Amino acid sequence: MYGYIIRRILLAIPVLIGVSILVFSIVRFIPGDPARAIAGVHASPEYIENVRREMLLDEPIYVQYYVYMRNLLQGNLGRSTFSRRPVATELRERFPNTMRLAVAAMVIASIIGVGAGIVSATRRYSLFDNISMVGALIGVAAPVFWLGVMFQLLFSVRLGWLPSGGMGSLRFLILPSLTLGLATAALIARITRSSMLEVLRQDFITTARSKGLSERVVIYKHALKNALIPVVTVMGLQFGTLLGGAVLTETVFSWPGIGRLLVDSILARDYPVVQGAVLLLAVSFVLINLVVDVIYAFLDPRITYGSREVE
Amino acid sequence: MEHILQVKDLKTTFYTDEAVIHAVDGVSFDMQPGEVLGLVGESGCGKSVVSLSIMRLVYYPPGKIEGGEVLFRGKNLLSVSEAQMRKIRGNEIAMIFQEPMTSFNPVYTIGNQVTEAIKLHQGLEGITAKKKAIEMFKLVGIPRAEEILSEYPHQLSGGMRQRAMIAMALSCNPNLLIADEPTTALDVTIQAQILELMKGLKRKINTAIIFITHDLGVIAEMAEHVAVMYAGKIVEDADIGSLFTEPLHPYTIGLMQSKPKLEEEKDILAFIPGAVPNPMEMPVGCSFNPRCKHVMEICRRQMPELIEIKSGHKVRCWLHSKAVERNHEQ
Repeated sequence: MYGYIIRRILLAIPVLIGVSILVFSIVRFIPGDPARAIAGVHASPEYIENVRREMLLDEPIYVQYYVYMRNLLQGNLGRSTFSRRPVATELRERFPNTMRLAVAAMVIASIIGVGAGIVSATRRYSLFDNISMVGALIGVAAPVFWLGVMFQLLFSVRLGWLPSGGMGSLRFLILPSLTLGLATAALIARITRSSMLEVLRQDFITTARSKGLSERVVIYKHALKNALIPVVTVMGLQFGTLLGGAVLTETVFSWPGIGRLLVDSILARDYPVVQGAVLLLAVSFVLINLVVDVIYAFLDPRITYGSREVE
Repeated sequence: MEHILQVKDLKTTFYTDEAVIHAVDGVSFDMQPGEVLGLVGESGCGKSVVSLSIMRLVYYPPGKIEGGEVLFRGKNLLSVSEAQMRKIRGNEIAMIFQEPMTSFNPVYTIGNQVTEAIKLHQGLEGITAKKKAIEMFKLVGIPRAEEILSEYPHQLSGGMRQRAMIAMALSCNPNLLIADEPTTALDVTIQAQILELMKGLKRKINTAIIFITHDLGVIAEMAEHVAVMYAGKIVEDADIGSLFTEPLHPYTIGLMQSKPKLEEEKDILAFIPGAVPNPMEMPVGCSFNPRCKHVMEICRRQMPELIEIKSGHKVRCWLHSKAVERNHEQ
């Protein structure tokens, strides 16, 4: 088990290096003169020259990458061209907010999704199954910004139960995390249902029943653990998407997260911040996948031994 | 002697989008305590559905047990509550399945799965349940019993998995064991070992066994009584000696001739022409008539009854029904 985990961590390193190269290239791929783009349209030629030197744009590309990586490993992501504050500080302020929103959304999505998926699979073609599957279809199809606005209309404007935006107590978290989580809940519900139906057809389910186990034990012990394997994959991928894709939700609910920071910096051409935010999201994505791989090993014992034993 | 199991006119039907399939169509047989009954037939003849129906493990949709009785020690299993049925499954009636790989849950240890039934039916906990499992493992000849308990199914060989499956099935001392092709997925040497093991166990614990297989060699080895199934019906029912010395149904005769014999040298094996009828297009009359070389006019019109030709030997065939009628007329 530990050998497997260490192997996965080592495999993540080349991916992270690849990510750093991609993010590094973003600024170098800006059309025209990056220094001019960063300095702004009305900047004086001296200032543009300054920026060029500051960013080492007159040096060879490998020197630029070397300096970039050296700074990066020291936690130095440069300064925002807009606020002149260190990018690392900006990210440190915003990232926990996005994390909070994404975790809340993921918890909601997992509970609703897995729960509905199991009930749908065990009562196939029942009223519940039909309603939840149509609901899931709508959930996947409804655009997040529309859903968010509808929630605001209903729960904030009409009923006045919950705040329509901003960040504060737990009450502020409910609507944005629901908005963000519902599409994922729908996806998880559909995958849990089909995975569960697949597992319930397996021979070992008949074995379990032939032992006299109750349906509850058959479903929640014997079927669920097997059925969750593909569900966990989707959860991992979705969690990454939630982190990076909270942009719309954050905008609709004025949530000060990294998604809004990213959009604001793109609009303001604040490239160091864009670079930092993209790097952070990409690294989170890699780490989440690492966690998913480790969870796999706990769910399915065959994975740990897979590389050593040939079946 | 009181019967341990009496199956009377069992009917199990599958409803699919395309058709209604009568997988088990009026099957009846009796079993004495400690008896080994062989249930023989080609794939798709309904023999596995018989076993699942006895256990009441046929689920709707698509399957439904539609009629008949399954009297286990005098009690009709088809009318007891689901809770009562759960107390019987794995406890009084246990099952062994064909595929030892897919019949164990891949994500739990062997020990976890074997002790499950022991904990449930015998009320044993933790260490005592584990001890019982180790005892059963030793009985079925599993070496390193204690280590294997903490291993996962994929870490065991097919033969070991099947031994563990047998240990699991026997752990609650069932009165009836249903073995559904327990040796089919194993290679011949392991197959011989498992058969030897089951024969030995039968002598030791005297459990009645329904042995389901398509292999007449295995039947000759194991069974005392044989029921041959074809297309959802029993076509011949006899004790083992009588069936092998004097098979009556053309299908049984065909099955026996299609087995190669060591003492004869043949270039081509005998075979039964044609294939098992498509369950959606069952022939009218006797379902074997399109493949039978003795087919008569009546065979295409009417299904014969299962008739006792001589003591303990029943057959469902017009050739013999006619003979019986003639004897009566004389």
